[in-house]
Amino acid sequence: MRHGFSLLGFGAALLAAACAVACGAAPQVDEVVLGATLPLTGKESRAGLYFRNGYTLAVDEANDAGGVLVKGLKRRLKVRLEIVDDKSDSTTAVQLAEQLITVKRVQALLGTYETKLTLAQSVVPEREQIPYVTGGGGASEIYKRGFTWVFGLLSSVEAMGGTLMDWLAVEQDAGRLPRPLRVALAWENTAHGQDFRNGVAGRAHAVPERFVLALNESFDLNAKDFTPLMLKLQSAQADVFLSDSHYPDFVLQHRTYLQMKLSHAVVSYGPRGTEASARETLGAGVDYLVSGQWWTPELPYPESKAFLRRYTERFGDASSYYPGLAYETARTLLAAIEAAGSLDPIPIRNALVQMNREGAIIPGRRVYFPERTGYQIDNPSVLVQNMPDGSARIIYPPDAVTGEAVVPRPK
Amino acid sequence: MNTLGSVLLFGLLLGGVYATMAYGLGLIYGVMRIVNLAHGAVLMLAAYAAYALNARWGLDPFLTLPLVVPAAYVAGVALYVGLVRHVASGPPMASLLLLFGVSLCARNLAYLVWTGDDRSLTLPHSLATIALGVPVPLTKLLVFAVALAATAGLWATFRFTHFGRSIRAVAQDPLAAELTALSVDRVSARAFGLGTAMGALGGVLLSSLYVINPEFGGGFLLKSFCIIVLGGMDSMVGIFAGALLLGVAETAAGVYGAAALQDAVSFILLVAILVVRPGGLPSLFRS
Repeated sequence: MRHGFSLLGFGAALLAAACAVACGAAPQVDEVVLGATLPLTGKESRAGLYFRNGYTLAVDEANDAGGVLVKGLKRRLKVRLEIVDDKSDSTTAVQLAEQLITVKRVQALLGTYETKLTLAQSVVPEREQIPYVTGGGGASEIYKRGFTWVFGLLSSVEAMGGTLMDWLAVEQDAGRLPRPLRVALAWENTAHGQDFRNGVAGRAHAVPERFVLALNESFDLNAKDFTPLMLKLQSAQADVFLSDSHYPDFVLQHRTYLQMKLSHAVVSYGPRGTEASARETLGAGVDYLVSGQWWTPELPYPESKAFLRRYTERFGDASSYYPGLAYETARTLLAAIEAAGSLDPIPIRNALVQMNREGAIIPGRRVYFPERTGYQIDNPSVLVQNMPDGSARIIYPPDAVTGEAVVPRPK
Repeated sequence: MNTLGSVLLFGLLLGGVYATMAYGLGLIYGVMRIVNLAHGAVLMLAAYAAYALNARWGLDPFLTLPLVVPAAYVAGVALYVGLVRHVASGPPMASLLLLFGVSLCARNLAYLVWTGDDRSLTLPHSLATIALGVPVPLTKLLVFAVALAATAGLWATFRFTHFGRSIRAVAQDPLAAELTALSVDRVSARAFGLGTAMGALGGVLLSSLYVINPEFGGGFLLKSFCIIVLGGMDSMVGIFAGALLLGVAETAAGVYGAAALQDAVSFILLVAILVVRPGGLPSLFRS
């Protein structure tokens, strides 16, 4: 009995001591700590490494300028970036995000890459009420959950589909495409593909005098054979072929398209087609493909060119949208902290909600998060067309055009 | 060529692709009653081997077969002797878990060596076609030819060679085989090696058609299961026929139904066969 009371007393004392430490006076803040999990190994490691470089560049630039000005503390604070490897795994991404918040005490989170990981991970900052800014998840599903702490710099794939249709309308008005235009649409059966379908089909249904959907067909991710789809495409007698797929499916699909000697005035595989590996594998078959990008090194904006110079000097290759998106994502969060004048989560979150920042390097050159989209940016994508000399020409939107589109696609 | 003709032609070609990826799994299960969960890893590693030889020396994957397939045989024998034989006669779960572990190790090794980047072989004939009423991809015709040759080769091996007959004997009754002075262990090792070699054959051929990454083998593993069930699990000719049937069924489902149904077809057929004819297609011809 006596021992029992002794143990109980000891335990109570221990608990009290722990509370005293945890609830004691907050330590003086002498730096801004941002956390991020990224797929540095595993399936998405290529994108993860680009994202790490983009985040690092933005943070280093802020530190080189003396740090982030936090008006509430009346001084500039250096930024420390805590990046951990989520191994391209959703469960790991969630666990590590929790650790970054509860153990590392980060003040805000930068997002991981890829829709599936972002979808899973974003639940954590929402629950913990920590600002989360991501440039790595484009599916609108992420932002349709009523979350108020998650902000996306990747405009939706639905918006990309809509941008493609807007450009097709421009080509119609220029007399290069018929009216109405018969559109063959194929989309992978994922959130990504469904978004693309909604963007294209939505525009088609909205202006039936311009567009007719001659084909509207889904396919499974990692399909083993696209011959049936291509046979249907052949029968559809469409003017243009729009598809959305991940890279392996794009290669197989387009190879089958070329083998069956199909031909359309415009061919697009969503964001696919500009990859150097695509040209190595499919050769001249990728000529004149149109793809939608969230950022491209070809953007003519001075801010984007300056970023590209600094990035390639430090890290080398920047041949995809990942570096630009990552850089702008980190810059956005740092700008929100400055605008908030505080390191508390609520002012930072409010600053993100109210943000309307010009001079961004992404298409549209502006960062703002509309509430109607669930705080997902809705800037237009930039459309790029492959040229036979291996270059890529920006053909839309008008403020970023670097050359005229080739329509119809030569046979 | 009309639509039905195209469905049959392309369906058979697809079946040829499927046959090459299923032989290895069928052989190991047929002889040793082991479900080789490392089969997907074998496909993947063989595909990477073909990729590496193509990237380094410009070798066409069909020309890498004489290098990769024998190497896979040796690796399969070593795997059996080193690991599998210790669990082969034990509870089925033991071999399942062991081979699952092997497959995880192989996948992570692939990530380490090649990263998660998607890779494709650069082949001069990848877009080449032959006009047979419709343009038919040359690569798929070659794969079909190899599948046919492999079927014939395996049938002849099992029928006419001592090696093949000893494998059949062990598959039918290991105890009786042991009594005839056959070393069941040695025969099993060679059968496992042959199954791995056939898996490697499939992997090399698949590398000429698909983009590869460390996750490459997983999707083919599931389909291979369906094919060996269709084919009767221990008949190479049955597996070939099952693969052709599946190829035609998937193509027809995609053309006459929805492209999204293609993958579902294999599982629908699997369930149907297990319910109606658990012995697979060969049981239709047995009394």
